[in-house]
Amino acid sequence: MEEKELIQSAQKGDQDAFGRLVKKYRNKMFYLAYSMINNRETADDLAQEVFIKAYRALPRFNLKSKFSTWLYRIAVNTIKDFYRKQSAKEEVRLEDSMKVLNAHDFERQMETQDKIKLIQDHIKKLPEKHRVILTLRDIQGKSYSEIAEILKISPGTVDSRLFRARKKLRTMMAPYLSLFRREA
Amino acid sequence: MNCRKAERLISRSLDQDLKPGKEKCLLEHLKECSECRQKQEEYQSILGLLKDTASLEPKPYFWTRLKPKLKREQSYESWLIWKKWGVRAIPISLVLLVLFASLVSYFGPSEQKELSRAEILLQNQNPFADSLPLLEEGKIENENIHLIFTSINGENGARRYFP
Repeated sequence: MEEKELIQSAQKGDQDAFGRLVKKYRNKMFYLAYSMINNRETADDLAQEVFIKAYRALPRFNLKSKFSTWLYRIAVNTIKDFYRKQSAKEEVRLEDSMKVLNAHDFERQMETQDKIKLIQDHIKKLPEKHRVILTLRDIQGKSYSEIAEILKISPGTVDSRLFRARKKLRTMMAPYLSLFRREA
Repeated sequence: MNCRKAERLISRSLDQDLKPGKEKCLLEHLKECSECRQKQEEYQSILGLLKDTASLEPKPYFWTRLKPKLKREQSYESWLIWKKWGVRAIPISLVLLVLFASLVSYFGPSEQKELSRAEILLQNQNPFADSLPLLEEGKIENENIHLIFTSINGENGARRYFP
């Protein structure tokens, strides 16, 4: 069944059709949440909440729009709301991540999972809007126009925001990137 | 081309093909600037790592865990609809009640007002006939009133006084 037919069935109350939509998008929603929160349990809960909100709003969804864009928009807003509540409790300063650590601590060979963990820890320290755009573009592979539609910004803003996000991440990761190069 | 512009183009080149003119300028700059070449490698390295991070999946039985939450959502929605229309029904019912009461009082049969004896006499065009019970009572004041208001000469006892 095509996605459009699944959506129409789900709008009429067919829960199995909605289930198939969930299965199609659950990994993407989960990973979007995980990249922002960096906690598997919380990311799973947030992904579930995204689908509950989508289920609630589905009768109002206009089939002329793209479903994935609509779903991503719900996901981004849900995660942002959660993140704002969490950020109020924790103080995360960018300067802390810029400290150059003792090189001896990192002389051991880093496995890929270690590198992934490292980059995820640094992504978490970025401002919210940079994290969102890095996740949508560099992790989820969304195009500039899709990102512009999800975030309701212009493609020009996507370009400039993405550049600033990458630049900031590169600056934070600079002490560790030399290790990656040494291994290569 | 300066390093600031070069870095911007390096970032853009990760997503899309650059325009031929800009691509040429960037390549020329990278030939001469080792710092920018290093930046380009770092950006590519980070991008590769970011793509690797997309391998995680949610906890098992995602849909099985979500289904009961959707059922609760359906019950909650039914209650919301009832609450919404129930709250509106109260003032609507009151308005309908007032409207109905108004219509009944306006179009309904009017009450028959009990008239006094004097009012009956005044309404009637032939008071002589109606006043007969009064005369039969034999009270002098009734007979006098009768004389004032009727002509005793006429057989019909037509009224002489109209208020």
